[in-house]
Amino acid sequence: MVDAEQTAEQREFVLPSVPESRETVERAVMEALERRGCGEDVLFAVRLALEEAVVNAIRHGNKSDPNKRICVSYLVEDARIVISVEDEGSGFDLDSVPDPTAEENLEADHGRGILLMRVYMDEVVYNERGNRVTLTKMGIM
Amino acid sequence: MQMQVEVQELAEKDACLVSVHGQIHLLEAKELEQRLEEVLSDGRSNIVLDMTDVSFITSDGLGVLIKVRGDARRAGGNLSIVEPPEPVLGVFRTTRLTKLFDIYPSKEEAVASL
Repeated sequence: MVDAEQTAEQREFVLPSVPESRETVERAVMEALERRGCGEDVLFAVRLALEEAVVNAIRHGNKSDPNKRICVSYLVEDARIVISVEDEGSGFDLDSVPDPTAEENLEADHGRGILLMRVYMDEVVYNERGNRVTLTKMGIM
Repeated sequence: MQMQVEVQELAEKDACLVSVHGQIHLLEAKELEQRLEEVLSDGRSNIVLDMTDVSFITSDGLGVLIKVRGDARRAGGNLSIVEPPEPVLGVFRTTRLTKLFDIYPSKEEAVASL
């Protein structure tokens, strides 16, 4: 039975830039959502967006340097989840990312992460530097 | 469910059925790429990829499929897909990869197209 007035849940992780870090934070986020009785569609969407953000931070932000850290935090409150992923990189120009759905880019084997975050979350906001992304999904319950 | 991959040679010339089960995250995508490239290097350039039991995929997984499709086509074959369930199919739709890949509703139809 889901308690409709569950208190907010918040956690922060500081992790090395290795693929296994994705599992650590994903497990915690999924368990938090499952405790609140979120449906499979919400679990899928958040898992996908989170993984895209974490992999981008590790691969592009921190150049897969295991000595560099990513900082991932999440807040689950009311009926929304807010996730923040930050890397130690110098950031990037969001406007320079090509549209992966354009005909000329369909056969590119990379470049779809930001699109997927934007489609599967309600809000995707980068800080000015471009090394931190905040993902929000509303109506999770 | 941890990803599992099964490879079955088909009677059709240079054809192979590769069945994938489970979730395709970053590390699984690398493993899947390795298995598919092994199939290609064995001379099986027509790959039918059965994704009916795939429950999750990320952009890394999509990238692997695109790369292997390109390699298969350069070898004179193709990589076609047996339709995954929603919401995995939704990821293909969102990225417009339903326009790139030949996606069939059943294994039989995918094999018949070879």
